Amino acid sequence: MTRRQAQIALLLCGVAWILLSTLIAPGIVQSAYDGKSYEILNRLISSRAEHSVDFYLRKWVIASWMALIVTIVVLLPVLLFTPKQLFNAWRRYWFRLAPLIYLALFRIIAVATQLILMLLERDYGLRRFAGLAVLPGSMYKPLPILQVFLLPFGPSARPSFAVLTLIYWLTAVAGIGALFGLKSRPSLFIFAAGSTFLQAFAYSFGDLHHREALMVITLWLLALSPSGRVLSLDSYLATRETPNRKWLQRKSIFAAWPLLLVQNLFGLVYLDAALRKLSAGGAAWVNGDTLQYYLYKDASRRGSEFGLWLARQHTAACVLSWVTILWEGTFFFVLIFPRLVWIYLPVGIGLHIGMALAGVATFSQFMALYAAFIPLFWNYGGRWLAVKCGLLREPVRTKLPVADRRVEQPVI
Amino acid sequence: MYSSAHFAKEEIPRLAVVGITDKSQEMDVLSEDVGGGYWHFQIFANALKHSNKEVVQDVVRAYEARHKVRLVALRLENRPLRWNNVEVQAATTEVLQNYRLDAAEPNERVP
Repeated sequence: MTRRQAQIALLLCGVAWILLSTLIAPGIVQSAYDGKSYEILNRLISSRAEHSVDFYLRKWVIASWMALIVTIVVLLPVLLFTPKQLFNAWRRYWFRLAPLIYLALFRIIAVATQLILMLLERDYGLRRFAGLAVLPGSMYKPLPILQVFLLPFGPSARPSFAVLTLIYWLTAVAGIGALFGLKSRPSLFIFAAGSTFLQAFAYSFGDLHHREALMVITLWLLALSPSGRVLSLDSYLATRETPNRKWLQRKSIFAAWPLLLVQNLFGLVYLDAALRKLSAGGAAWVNGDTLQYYLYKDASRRGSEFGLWLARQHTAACVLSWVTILWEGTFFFVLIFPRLVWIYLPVGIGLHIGMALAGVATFSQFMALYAAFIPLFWNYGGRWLAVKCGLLREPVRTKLPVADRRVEQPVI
Repeated sequence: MYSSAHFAKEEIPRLAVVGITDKSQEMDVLSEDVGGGYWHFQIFANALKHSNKEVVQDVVRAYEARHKVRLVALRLENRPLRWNNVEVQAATTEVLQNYRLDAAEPNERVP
C-alpha cells in the first residue's frame, strides 16, 4: 500500500467512525441501558439507578471523539512523513543543542522548592508521617511504586515510623547535595527516589491527589539529565584550575529534553483538567455557582476569610470559572506560540496564588516548576527587555553579509 | 475532585462521626483521632457508611486506647452547610448510619 492509499484509507475510516458513532452507536447504548442488548454490552452499564441514559450517551460522544482524535494524532505523522523525517524531527525537537544554564536553574528551583516543602511545610514533614504511621493496617493499600521499593520485604510490607524517619533525613541530605550540585547525579537519584518513596507512602491510605506528581516526575528527569553540569559544586571543583570557564556558554544536546518534557506535561495536565471539568460538569461548570460551592466548601473547612468573601461574589465566580476553563484548556498554545508565555504564566501564578489564599488548594510545586519556561521567557522577549532596561548589552553586530551569518534559532 | 457542576441552594455535605460510650455519653470522633488528617477521616467515615467492619474496628480500637473509653456504637451524620450569595450557615443534621460495635454489624435500632 502506498502512502497516498494509506492516507485515503485513514480518511475513509475516520468518516465511517463518525457515521457509526453518531448514527448507530446511540441506539446500541440505549438498548444496552434498557438491558435489551448483548449481555456483554448490558453489563458495561452498571449504575442505571444513579444515572440516566443521557449520561451514558454523553460519555459515549466524548469517548468516541477522543478515540478518533488520538488515532489521527498517532497515525497522521506516520502517513505524512517517512521514518527518517520523523526520526530527524524527533531528534531536532528533543535533542537540540541548548545551554546547560537553563537546566541548572531549573534544578536549583525545583530541588529548593521540594526541600523547603519537606522541611517546613506541615503536609510533607515528619509530623505528617507520624500521623500516617498510626493509621490502622486495614487502611493501608500500598501504591504499586511503593510495592516496588519494598519488594524484598513482600508486597504488603509497611515501613515503620523509624524507617520513614531514616528515609526522610536521608532524602533531605541528598536534597541539599542536589541543590548545591555536590555529587549531583547520585544526590539527585537519592533525592528523587526518597521523595517518590515518601509520597507513595503518604498516598497508600486511600486518598490520592495530583499536586505532587509533576514534581516527582521532574526530580527523576533532573537525575537522568546533565542538570549538575553547571551552577554546581561539581563543576566548580572540576574547572577551578581552568582560567576561562565560560560556564554560561556551555551547551549540550541533552539539556533541552527535560525542560521540553515538563513544558509538554504542563500542557497535558491543564488540558486534562479542563476536559474533566467539561465532561463531568458540562457547560454548568462555568455557572458561577460551582465555583462558589467549592470556595464555600474548602474555605469554611480551612478557615480562609478571603475564600469566604470570594465565595459570596457570584459575578467574580462566573468570570473566574470562565478564565479557569479557557486558561487550562488552551495552556498548550504556549508550546506552539511561545510568546504567549508572557500571558499564560502570570495568569497561572495568579490563579494558583488565588486558590491558595482562598483555601482551595496550594500548588506550590506547579508554580516552582514554571521555571521550565524560563528559556521561553528569555528567548521571546526577556532578552529584548533586558537590553531595553540597560541590564544587558546588545549583541555585537558583525559586518558579515546576512547570507553568511549563522542562523541563531531560539534554543528551547 | 473539582470537576462536578453545582447549583445555587445546593447543600454542602459534611460528614461527622459521633461515638457513643458504654456510659451513653456522646462525643465527636475528630480527624485528629483517626490520624493522618482530613482525607483519612473521610475514608473512615465512608468505611462507616459502607459498614466496612475491618476499618471501623481498627479505628475504634485506636480511639478507645487513646481516649481510655469504651465505645458501643457510632453514628454517622451529615451536617450540611447551606449557602447563598450572602452567607453560609449550618442546615439540618441528617443521620446516615447507626453502627453497633459490639455486634460489629450495622444496626438501625442503635440510638
